[in-house]
Amino acid sequence: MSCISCGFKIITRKPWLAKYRVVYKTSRGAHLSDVVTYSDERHKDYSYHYEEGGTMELARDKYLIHELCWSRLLAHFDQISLDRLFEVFKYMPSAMYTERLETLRYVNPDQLPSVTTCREVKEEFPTPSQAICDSMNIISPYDCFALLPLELRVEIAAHLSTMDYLGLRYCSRAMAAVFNNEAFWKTRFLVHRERGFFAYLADNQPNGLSSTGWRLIYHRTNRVNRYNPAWKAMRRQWKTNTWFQDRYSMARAPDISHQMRSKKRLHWETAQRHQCRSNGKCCGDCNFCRHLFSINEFTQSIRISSVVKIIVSILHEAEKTFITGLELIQKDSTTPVAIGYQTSRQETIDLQAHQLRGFIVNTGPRGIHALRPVTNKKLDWVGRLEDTGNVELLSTRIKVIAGTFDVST
Amino acid sequence: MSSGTPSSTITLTSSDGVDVTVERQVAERSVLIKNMLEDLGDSGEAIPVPNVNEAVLKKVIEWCTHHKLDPPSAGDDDDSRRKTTDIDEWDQKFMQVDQEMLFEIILAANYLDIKALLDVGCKTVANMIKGKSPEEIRKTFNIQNDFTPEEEDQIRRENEWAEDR
Repeated sequence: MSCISCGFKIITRKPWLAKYRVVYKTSRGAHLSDVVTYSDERHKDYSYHYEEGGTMELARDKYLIHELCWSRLLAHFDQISLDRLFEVFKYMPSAMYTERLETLRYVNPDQLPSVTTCREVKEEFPTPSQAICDSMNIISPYDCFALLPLELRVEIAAHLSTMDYLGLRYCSRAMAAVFNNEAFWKTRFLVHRERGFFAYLADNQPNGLSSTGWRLIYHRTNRVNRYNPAWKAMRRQWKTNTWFQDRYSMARAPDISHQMRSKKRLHWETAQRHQCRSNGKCCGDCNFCRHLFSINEFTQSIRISSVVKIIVSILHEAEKTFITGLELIQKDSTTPVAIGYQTSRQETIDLQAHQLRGFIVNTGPRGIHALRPVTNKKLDWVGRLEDTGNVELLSTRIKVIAGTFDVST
Repeated sequence: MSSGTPSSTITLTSSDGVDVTVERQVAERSVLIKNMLEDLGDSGEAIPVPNVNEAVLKKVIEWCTHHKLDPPSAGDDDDSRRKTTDIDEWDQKFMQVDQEMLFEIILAANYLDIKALLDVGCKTVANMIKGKSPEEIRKTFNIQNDFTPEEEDQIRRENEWAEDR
């Protein structure tokens, strides 16, 4: 009996691993049980199929999650629909975990590694000379960010990944100054940022900005998770929870439903139960499949050379990425052409007047891992390349891109 | 709260002296104006908005009108609004303005204390930066590169110190 979020077993030996909840499904929808303790009599009701070696089919109807892990999972969401979460749990890939459990340690939540432990000395900060400090403080008349007070510059930087922010420092003195702001570095420890697995450090230090030194902690927690089995476990769980949130928030492009031939929406469950599926794919040929495709089929047209911006939605799964959707934006067009699913992790490619000629896609057996637009300027790949084949889709040869997708309501 | 039934409209005076009449419920999306009306009562006199010119004020009112029925925004410490950089479709179109106006809207939202609008403005700017090289960012925001080699070297060393390796 393992927890869907952390992967550790539910056991009595460690009290924080003994309490759990069950997400289960009945004909009325998905439900969340109240807290069950491993030794409770009720425990048998929920775990019996597992304990007695029940079939996987039965096991799929319920998912166990430590009480502590449930609260950690909730931190990733603003609000949660159990029905949707249940579906996300159901499709969690087995290859999600890259680390072996034996190399990890699920520590007592009352004894999580402290800030002091994180602050082991690494490299000295490259303190700037006084002359550099003075010149960096000069306000440039060409820097639009200098119009904003520091608190608003921090607010903008808080929405960027640290990598994007560090790149921005080469462009604007006003934004470069955010580097010295502790409130900015504290945002790196929010649950959806690079140090999200250390979110508890920020939670425990609501006012301790100046004394704690978030920038220093950020530096000193670099790679720290690779060596400490407790942090490794927390990072692995955080990555799994992040995947749940990403997958949960995937949505069809909002303005396309009216273009479908039929207003009748097919519920996700109905499509999933369809019997022709083998290996998760529809046969595409039986009456049901033809019906499924026809009622949800629609065509969007775009002149590929008129595209000025591409928004790519990405799903991260263990060390792999999957491209889940594309939005092609034309100049002065109010309605973008969208295909697939939008995720909360998107990358925007501004073509900067370079004419789009097509795409190169890096594909694997489960989908598209990475994509590179083809223009007269060589652009970077979006997504992580896998050691599989690349396919070139050029507008001179390709007239239509067709996609079939699972139906989700 | 002031006694009696508050009037349904109020008048705001922009920094360039133009009076703009607006539904009270719309104006109260601004915490600054809401607090002023609660503290001082509605005397019927125009409320000066000295930091915001007419064009920006009208744009802000357009946003407040569209969002007048939204639930009040959460407090300062609410980090959930930073969870994603998703922007609602209407807001995306609303923010398709020139760069000067975009920055003016952010400043006005901050002054008038309209957290949700400030958030949309900051997210819009952040989305213009994401995934871009420094050269592309400079081009997007018309920033001239005036860093000295020594300054660039200092930034590079600081970045290397901070980034995940």
